[in-house]
Amino acid sequence: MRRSHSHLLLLLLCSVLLARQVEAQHSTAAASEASGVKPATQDILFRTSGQVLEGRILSVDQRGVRMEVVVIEGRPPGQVTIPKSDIDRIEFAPDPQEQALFERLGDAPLAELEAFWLRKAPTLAIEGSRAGEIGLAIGERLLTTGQSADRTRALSLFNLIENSDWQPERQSRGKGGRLKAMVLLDRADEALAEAKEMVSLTDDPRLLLESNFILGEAAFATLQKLVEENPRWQEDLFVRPEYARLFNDALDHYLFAPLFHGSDEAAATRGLWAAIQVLRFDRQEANAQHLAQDIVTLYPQNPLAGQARLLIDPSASASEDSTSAEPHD
Amino acid sequence: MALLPNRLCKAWGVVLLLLLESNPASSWAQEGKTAEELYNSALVSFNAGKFVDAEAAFSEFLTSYGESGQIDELLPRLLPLLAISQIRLEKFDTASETIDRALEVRPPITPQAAEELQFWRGVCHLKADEFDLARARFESFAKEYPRSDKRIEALILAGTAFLMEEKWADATAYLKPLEETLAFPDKGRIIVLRFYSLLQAGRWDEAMQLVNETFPHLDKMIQVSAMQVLALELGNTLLEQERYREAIGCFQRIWNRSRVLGLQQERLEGLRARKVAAERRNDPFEQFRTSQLLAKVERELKTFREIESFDPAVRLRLATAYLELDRYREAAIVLEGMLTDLPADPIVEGASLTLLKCWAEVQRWPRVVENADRFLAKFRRSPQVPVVLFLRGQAEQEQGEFTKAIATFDAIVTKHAESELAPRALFMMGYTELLNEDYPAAAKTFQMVSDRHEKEDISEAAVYWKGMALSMDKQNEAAREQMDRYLAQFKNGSFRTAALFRKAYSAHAERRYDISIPELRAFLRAHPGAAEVDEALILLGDALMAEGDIDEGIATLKRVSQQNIRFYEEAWFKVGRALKLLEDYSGMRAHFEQFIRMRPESSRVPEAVFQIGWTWRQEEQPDEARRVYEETINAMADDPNRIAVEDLLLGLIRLARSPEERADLRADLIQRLQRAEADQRPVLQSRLAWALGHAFRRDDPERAQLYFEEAGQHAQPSTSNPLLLADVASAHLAAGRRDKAAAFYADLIKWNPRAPQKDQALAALGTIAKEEGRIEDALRFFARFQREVPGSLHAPKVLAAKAEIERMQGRSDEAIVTLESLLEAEGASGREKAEALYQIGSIWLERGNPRRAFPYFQRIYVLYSRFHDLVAKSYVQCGSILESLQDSQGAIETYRELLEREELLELEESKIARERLRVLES
Repeated sequence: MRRSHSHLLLLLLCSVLLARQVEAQHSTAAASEASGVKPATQDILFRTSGQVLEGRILSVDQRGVRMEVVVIEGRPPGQVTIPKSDIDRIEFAPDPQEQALFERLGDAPLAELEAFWLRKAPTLAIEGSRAGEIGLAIGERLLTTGQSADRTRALSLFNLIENSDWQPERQSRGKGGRLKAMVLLDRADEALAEAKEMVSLTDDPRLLLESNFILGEAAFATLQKLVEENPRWQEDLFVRPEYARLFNDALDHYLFAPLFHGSDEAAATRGLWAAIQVLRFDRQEANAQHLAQDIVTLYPQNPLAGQARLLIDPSASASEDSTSAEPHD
Repeated sequence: MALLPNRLCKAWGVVLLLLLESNPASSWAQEGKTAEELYNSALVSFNAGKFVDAEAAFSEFLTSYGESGQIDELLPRLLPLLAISQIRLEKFDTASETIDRALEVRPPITPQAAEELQFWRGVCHLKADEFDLARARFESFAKEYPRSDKRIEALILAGTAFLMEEKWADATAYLKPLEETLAFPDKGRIIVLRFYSLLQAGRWDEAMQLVNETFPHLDKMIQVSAMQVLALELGNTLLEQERYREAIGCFQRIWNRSRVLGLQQERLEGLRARKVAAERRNDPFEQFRTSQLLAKVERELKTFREIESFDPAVRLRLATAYLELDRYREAAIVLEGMLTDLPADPIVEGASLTLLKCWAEVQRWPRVVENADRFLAKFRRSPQVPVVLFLRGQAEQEQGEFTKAIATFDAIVTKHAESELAPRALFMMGYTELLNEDYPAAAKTFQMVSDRHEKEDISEAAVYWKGMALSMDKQNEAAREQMDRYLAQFKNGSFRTAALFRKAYSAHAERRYDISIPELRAFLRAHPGAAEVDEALILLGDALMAEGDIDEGIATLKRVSQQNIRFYEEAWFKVGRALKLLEDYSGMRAHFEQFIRMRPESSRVPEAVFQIGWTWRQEEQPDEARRVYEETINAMADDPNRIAVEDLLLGLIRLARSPEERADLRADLIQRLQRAEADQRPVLQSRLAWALGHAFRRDDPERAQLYFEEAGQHAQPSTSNPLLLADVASAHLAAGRRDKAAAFYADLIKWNPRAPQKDQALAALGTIAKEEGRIEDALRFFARFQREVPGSLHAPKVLAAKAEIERMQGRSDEAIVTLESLLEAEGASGREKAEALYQIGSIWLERGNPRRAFPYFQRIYVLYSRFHDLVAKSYVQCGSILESLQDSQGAIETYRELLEREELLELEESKIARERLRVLES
């Protein structure tokens, strides 16, 4: 440990320094709170000219931002369009309801999410907007219903976020969601072609994770189909190499997340669990247990750890069974 | 510092007051500045951020007037400004004194100033290594000012004091509860400090727990790079402690360098944007703060960039941990990217070699070849090149690419002759030649190994394998001599047993029983546990019987163990044949009956039953022969796993030779079928209906078809004999029920991938698809046919159909290639070849090349004269071609030749020929 002592101290120093950045980020809110100034209840648009407009953002398009503002005091608000080139920045009014929704995004009823989406979607492209987060949550939810119409809608939502959200990270997630939706909509070939391209071209970790998982899913599905069509594949000289190729392909892609992005727990455990299914499909129970042990040791708090424990020790308690998550299918 | 601007005007008022009351003849005169000027200058400097000037001016002011009591009213305002100037100048010692004085001054300083200075006093303690005092100050600050924006900072600094004091246990005890009260990103700062403390305290388990708990939230933290480095450190320690899985947990969570740098860069850009915005708003405090932050983030970026080979180091460690767990796949996946993505350096070179070995370990041969090629391109001059070539050669050999493997091993031998792998490579070259069935080349190569590397261990294997190569090349005498050489040269050689056996084997192959019998006996005596014992017993038994010693031969064959089923059954049937030679029919019968009892699942049961039947027929008791068949069938017919039943049924049908016998058999089978139906025995029903199909095939084909269809109704695709499925499918096809036929053929392939009927099924499926217009499906089946059963008798039919599709799709080049391969296909009938020739000729005509078309048409009437229709058409085509080439005489002779052949005169083409002749001759 000593050999890295000075280096670590240096990094710690850096970390303290960096922390100030956060302090700075939060200082505005803290200062306004301390000064007794109430948080803004309207969206504020700062123009490059210095003019400040307070009101409600209605929509954003190529021309600019359409806003509802009180032009003449005491009169009903009017609508103005501010060209993009004239806008310095926009500060969205804090929305306690939105904040509350974000805290339970995974559990909120779809209708509530939809209502928010309706209100917030126009701001998708504006820096600071969190509308995309709601759109992504709706998309993910729609993919789980099993309905083709829902999947189609999810596809268009993901597409919109991929193309219009201001935040690159959410654009990536939109793209990943779109690929998932395409697979579910029997457009796997298209999705696969895109995923393959992405794996070779992108550096974006989220896209890489999603693309690799999709490629793993495709390989495993094809492997299962191959075995269904060739139940005695072991005897078939011509099927055996294809079996090996798909088996290895599925494992390699599924293991991408745990091997290279272990800090993304959800992706890593999803990959490990999927790889376990591949190994079990190939009757490699011992190797499957190694991966299950990885989940238990490395991600003990993850819901899949319960399933993994059962796999290692089927006599594990029934209570554990009842609390464990459903495996990926 | 926020306290300063608000108080400037008040301070200025006090200064004015002081000036009125002070003695003008003071030290000001010495400096050439009045008190007013001095204080004014200090404030201006402070306000302008010129803290050196501000501190000097405040200090001088204090020195000059502080003791006079004249400026007591001003001190509560002046001292904080001086303290802050000193802090900005990092003069913490003097700042401490100033702050202490300011905190005690009367009248007291403002509460805001007191809050500010209390905080900085803690910092001063920290700077002076007064850790207890610093902690006490920060903790009291946090209590006294619970709403202060510096409260969290104070608490964090209190914890930092433990770290600076290297009190790791105290630090972790203090930080843990604090961490739980905070939210990100402050929580993240505590996590980093605690992580570091845990590592320093050697509390690895808690550190690992921290990694497990916090890494999922890494995106909420600021100190991402610090976490990466600490996780790497923990991983290293766990690796050293052989806690591999936990080490993996650390290494695999570490982000790659570009991702860390990318995040930092992103934040840097955000800060720059904020600074620009602050400048536009003319906000000096924000400008100052963002400038500070920018400098700090840039410093972190620089620090992280300075860590050399970060990614390779992490990957190598991760791979090492997996390797220690014998998890070669994971190790290989981790290492593979290094060879592709990272620049060539010794770490990557070593890792790449490990990568190849890992892929070889999990038998991913294509990956071995692929990465070996990458390695050879990247590290051309590496001393590891021979090793990499060797691994590639092995992989190529394992993939059955023998020619490539031979070339690769040869490259080691010729280009890296000095390598210690060269002898082994030469040996592997010979061994691969052996696998490639190039026995003479293998023998030559093995000889080279023993010539060139006589003193190497590999020489022993080479001498032995040369003998094997000669034996496989049927050079038995030479093989024996070579084995003698081996036995003389290697008294304790590891191949001695095998060499002795091979010597005897070679003598046996030459029918030199006088030699082989004593050698085999000696072998069996000396090596009773050898792997070759059963094979030796069979050879000896054979040899003894060939020499007329039947009894001993039988006794020898009966010694073959049951463990080796193939040899055991072979020996059993050889004994049977011996009994036949001795004309011991009852003994022979009993022998085969015993076989059926002992090995009812054997595929050789029908052969045994046939032999039993043969004995009865020899004794002129054909009914007994039938009885044996029937009994065996009865015993087995219900069991789908008894795959020999169909063969038995066919044998039974063959036994019924006369019309009466056949009629009796059919009646009997029908009765049995009715009983099976009543008893609901579908397996038996299917088999009996199928047998009836065969029984009626010759005399009543239509009825036979019906029975085959009935067999199909009761068949179980997963267990039914492929022979049965093929007949059922064929019956449906004959009846025009393509969908049903296709379903049975598909099941046949699905459940019997190695069935001899696979070619029939693939050909039929392709043809059905073609007839139904599913061209892509048809081509897929034909491609499978060509790949999987190329030597099939159905090949000409498939090739013709494929060529037709290719021609239809305008791919005439491919159609010609396909038709040319049909002409060379074994088993192609004359008709099929003649049709192929006609097709090729027609294609060349279509392509406007009559000269190339001509010989194809000509070959038809020269070689295949019995196919009159094609011959006649070919004559006309040739005549027409000659006409188009202005060779009227040739055309006339061709048409005349057609008309001279009587068998063609009735055909339409003769009229055409006559008409053309009339035109040409007129």
